[in-house]
Amino acid sequence: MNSTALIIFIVTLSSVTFITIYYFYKAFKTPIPPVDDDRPEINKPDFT
Amino acid sequence: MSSNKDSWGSRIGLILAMAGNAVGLGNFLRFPVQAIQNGGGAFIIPYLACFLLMGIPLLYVEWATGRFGGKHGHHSTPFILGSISKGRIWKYVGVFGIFTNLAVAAYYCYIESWTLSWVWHSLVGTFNGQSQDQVATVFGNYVSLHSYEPVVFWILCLALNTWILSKGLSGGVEKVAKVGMPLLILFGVILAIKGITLKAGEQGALFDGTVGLNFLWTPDFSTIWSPKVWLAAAGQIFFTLSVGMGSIQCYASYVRKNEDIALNAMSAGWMNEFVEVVLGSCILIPIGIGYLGIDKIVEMTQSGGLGLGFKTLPYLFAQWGPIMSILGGVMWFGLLFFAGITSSLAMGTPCMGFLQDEFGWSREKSALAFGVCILLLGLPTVLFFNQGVFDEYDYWAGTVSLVVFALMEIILFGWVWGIDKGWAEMNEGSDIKIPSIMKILIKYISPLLLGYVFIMSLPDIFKKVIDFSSVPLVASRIFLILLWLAIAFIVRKAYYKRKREGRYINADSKF
Repeated sequence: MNSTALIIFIVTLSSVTFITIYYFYKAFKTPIPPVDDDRPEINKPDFT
Repeated sequence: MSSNKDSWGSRIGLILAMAGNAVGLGNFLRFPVQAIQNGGGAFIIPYLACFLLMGIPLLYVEWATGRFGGKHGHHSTPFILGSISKGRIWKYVGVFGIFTNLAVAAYYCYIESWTLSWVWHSLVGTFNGQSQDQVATVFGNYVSLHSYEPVVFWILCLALNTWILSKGLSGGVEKVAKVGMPLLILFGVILAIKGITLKAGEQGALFDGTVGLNFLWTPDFSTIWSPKVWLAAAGQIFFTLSVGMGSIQCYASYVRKNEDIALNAMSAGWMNEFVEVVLGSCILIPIGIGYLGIDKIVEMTQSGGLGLGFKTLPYLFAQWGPIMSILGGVMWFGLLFFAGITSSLAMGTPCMGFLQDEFGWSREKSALAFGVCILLLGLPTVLFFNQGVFDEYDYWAGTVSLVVFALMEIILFGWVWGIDKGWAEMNEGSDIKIPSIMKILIKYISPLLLGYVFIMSLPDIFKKVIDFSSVPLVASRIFLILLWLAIAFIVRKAYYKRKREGRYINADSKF
């Protein structure tokens, strides 16, 4: 590979991979417990 | 009263399902072809710029409007948009969010069924010992309906989608995403490694895999300021993120009111980029060029990536020996299948949400209705594939509608509802700090970019409108217009039904 292509390839791939892992790990670390359906009766929201 | 009590079972399930919605066949078949046709490595600059300036803002907008609509008990875009502003027009803008999903699913499920069929053919070794022309003939005969097989696999695929949808979000969609997405990434990584490490002279390869990578990533900076390249980059972002469809809003409408959407949106959005940029660029082109050379691949990609993916790769896998050819085929078409089904399931949920919310239908009945609709709407694309009906659906529903809907929804969010209210909604329950520049992007930059994309597309749209060269094409155009009108009529009925029952609630309602 020529050097310009190689640099663009490596920089793009490593940044996209890093950001993806960062966000996914962050989301994985702060899980939300499974939903008990505590929503108000559908179509009758409780905002006042 | 709505029968819609569906919800997500876990955060990871939601993110994987949302990423699965975005990751589709285009990640592997369209992105590398677009990159080659638009400046190679230089394409990545407008592509990533469009992702940051338009893709991410639209993701935030769709997640936020979806969750907001969900708080009001709405799970489809006509009433999600209607819940944001009292203007009646927005319900009809929201019609695009059902129309697009139905029309796209109609042809998308057909391609999905090809992948299922090609997994089967790879397993039983249909392509072993065949020449490239013979493999291409198998595909040509398949789409020309020389046997019942395409219809059988198509019906099987529709039945599978309907069955999974009938199991609900946590019991169906989420389970498929939790299995399908990791497998897709695993298969993709194995094939990408194989593509990059391909050696000239081994297993019949003419060139190293890096020759393809070099070709794909060598920038042609002379194209970087071309409007055509920016238009292609923006179009690819639409396709890849599934924005402007209404499916993200629908999935997000099942998120609880104080649950994060910002981090979820970023996780799902970037996972899609990983699959597209990292895996999508390391399979089709490196393997194709490794065996056939640059000139042949450039010639083949002029007509898109479908031919290369379905007509050529099975022949190339067959060069890997009896076991690896089976594994290569199963992994390639398997990952395409998972990419396809996680997207088609997302297309089913807005329609189901609408039927459940507005007419009180059960999940099973709504899923069945969706399956039957797709069967009827998809028939022309199956029967008249060679007459271009498939491409006609793709152009109007899968391209033009997305841009129109995205432009309207971002104007609604940033200008009609107001960026401050929208910003508050985006940040509610957020697990990350959204950069404040996003406000400027959503209010000014993204609408301008979207407007530019739309205006630049107008000559092409006009050319298509006045193209009366073929009866099936004109008929399919009329068919799609009638579909849109029919949905708008049902939405109108549902609106008055809600009003009669005192259930019409929006942001301006007082309690």
